[in-house]
Amino acid sequence: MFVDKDSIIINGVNMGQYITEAKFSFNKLWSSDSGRNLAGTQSGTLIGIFPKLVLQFRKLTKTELERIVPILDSPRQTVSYYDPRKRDNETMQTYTGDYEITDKTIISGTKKNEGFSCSFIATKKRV
Amino acid sequence: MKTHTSAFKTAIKEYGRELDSIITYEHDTETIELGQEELNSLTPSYEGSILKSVMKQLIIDSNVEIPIDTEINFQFGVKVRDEDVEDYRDNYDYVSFGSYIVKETEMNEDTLSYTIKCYDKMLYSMKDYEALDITYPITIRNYINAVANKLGLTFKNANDTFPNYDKVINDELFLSRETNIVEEEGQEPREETTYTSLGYTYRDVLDQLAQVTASTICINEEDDELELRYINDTEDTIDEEYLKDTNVKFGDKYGKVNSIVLSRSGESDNIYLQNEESVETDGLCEIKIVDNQFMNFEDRSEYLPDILDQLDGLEYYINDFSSTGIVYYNLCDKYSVIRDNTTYDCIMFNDEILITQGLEENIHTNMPEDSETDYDKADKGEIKLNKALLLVNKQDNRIEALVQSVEAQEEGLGTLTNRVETNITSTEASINAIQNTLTNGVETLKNQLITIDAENGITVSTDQDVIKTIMNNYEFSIRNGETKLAYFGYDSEAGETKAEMDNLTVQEYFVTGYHRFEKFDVDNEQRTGVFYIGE
Repeated sequence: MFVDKDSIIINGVNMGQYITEAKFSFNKLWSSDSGRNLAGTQSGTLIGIFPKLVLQFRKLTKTELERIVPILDSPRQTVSYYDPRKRDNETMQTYTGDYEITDKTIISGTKKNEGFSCSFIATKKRV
Repeated sequence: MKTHTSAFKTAIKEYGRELDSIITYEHDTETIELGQEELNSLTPSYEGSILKSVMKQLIIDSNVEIPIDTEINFQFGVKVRDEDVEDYRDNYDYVSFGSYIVKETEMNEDTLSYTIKCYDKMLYSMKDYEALDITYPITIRNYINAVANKLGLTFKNANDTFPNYDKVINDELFLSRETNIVEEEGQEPREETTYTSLGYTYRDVLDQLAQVTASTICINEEDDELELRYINDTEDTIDEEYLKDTNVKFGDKYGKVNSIVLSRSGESDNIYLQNEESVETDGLCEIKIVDNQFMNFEDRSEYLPDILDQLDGLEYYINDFSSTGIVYYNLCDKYSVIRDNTTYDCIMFNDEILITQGLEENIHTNMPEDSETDYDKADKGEIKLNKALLLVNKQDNRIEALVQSVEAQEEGLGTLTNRVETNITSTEASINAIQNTLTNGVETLKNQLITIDAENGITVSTDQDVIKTIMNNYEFSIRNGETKLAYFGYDSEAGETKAEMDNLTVQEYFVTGYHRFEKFDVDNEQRTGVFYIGE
């Protein structure tokens, strides 16, 4: 949840100032033993819940983008977010998905890149 | 059953169960704990049955190498609570699989993980049997205790009574024995007995002890002690919720066991004890124990009652099924499975648990091998009825062949003795001894009429006769005492062949020198002539 401007910190950078939207997914990963047993009852092992954060960035200046991109390109990130189940800020290690930057004009001075989104996916299950 | 909570039993079959595994061990005075991050998969398994020893196995796929000979402890858990806890394991209930010893470790280059093969402490018995520090005679119970101590284990049943616990072993059974007279200057000659290996391991000995005690010998999961385990009726029932929807087979029923047969001498010498009422009602179901060294002597029939007492009435369903995971049953646990409104009573003998990101358990119980005893030729005790049999005495390196009539006082015996090699396995010794006899003959063979020995060859004569016939490589003679009544042979003193006898009757002719003595008729007159025949 985005409960205040400091809710999302990635690699020490407060993302609250750069985003227009944050989507929180809590995805279940099931083992291959999942299915129906002889009684027809669904059975199986839950490997865990892997949180995923999708951030919609606003239009960013050249300077702002240059600050964000190294984080997006790094192989691993440390993400702090407010978890509603834990009712507290949680920290997780993530990896990022692909992202695209669209420019409709030459970016200089106060001109900005178009907004874009990027996902941050937990490498370990939520404990 | 492994100690477990009711919450564990419920959670293990739930959709959305969450699992955990822990391996702990000591290394360089430090306690190492491997968990979900380090462990990729674990597969505990065993294959067992009644009347044998069982060793459990654990195969680990781990990102961390564990040194060989390390003793590890394995626990498996299921999440049973969802509380806000500091350590996530506080929300899990665990069952213990006990301790294992790392035997092999191999690196997998493709996954950069290690395949680690471990066995429980029955591994300690996989070495050559040596003389125990005991004095004979000794009871079965004390003997097992001595074996356990020799292996560095504690015998769990050291103070219990169990089948044949008080039977006595009179001498060493698993080593070859040779007694020599030792003479040292200034000292009385004394006997010295030396023992050499017959190729048995302690595991072989435990297998035979399992037969004597009508048990399954294994390592207890909770305390690592050597245990005589008997069928444990858990009174626990599982249903289709625990079964996968593939590979589910419940077949024939085995039992009721109602006959125990002890067999030796190539299964030619059998004695048995039966529950005759059960045989009548339920049909014969026998368990045959073959060539058990403890039950190989004149007192072997005394072992039967305890064994039959223990196994009489044993019955269970043959099965082969995959489960979504039960985990808490132990070897020899008796449990029930309800399927399609039918209840199958089963015994846990073979189990394999596949723990990866998920859980699967494969359980099967096979039909024991068929044995067919010819009860017409078997006895209820040690009475031989017109028997011919071979007894292999491994300890004294002797094969005894006995032919004995039912009138036990008569001694119409033929015996043969031969030597066997002492530095080969007991089975090889038995086979070699028989082959040696067939190939090379025997040193002495005697019955009522014929004696074969190295000195005279073949002598045909009863003990009461004065007249005897002797045949060997240089003579054939008929003698009255030492007087030759007829002799055909080579006189080594004269250096010539001879034929000697008091009387000789020739019907047609005989030749001597250049002449032939022959009968002929002339004008119906019977004559004997001497005719020159030349060279």
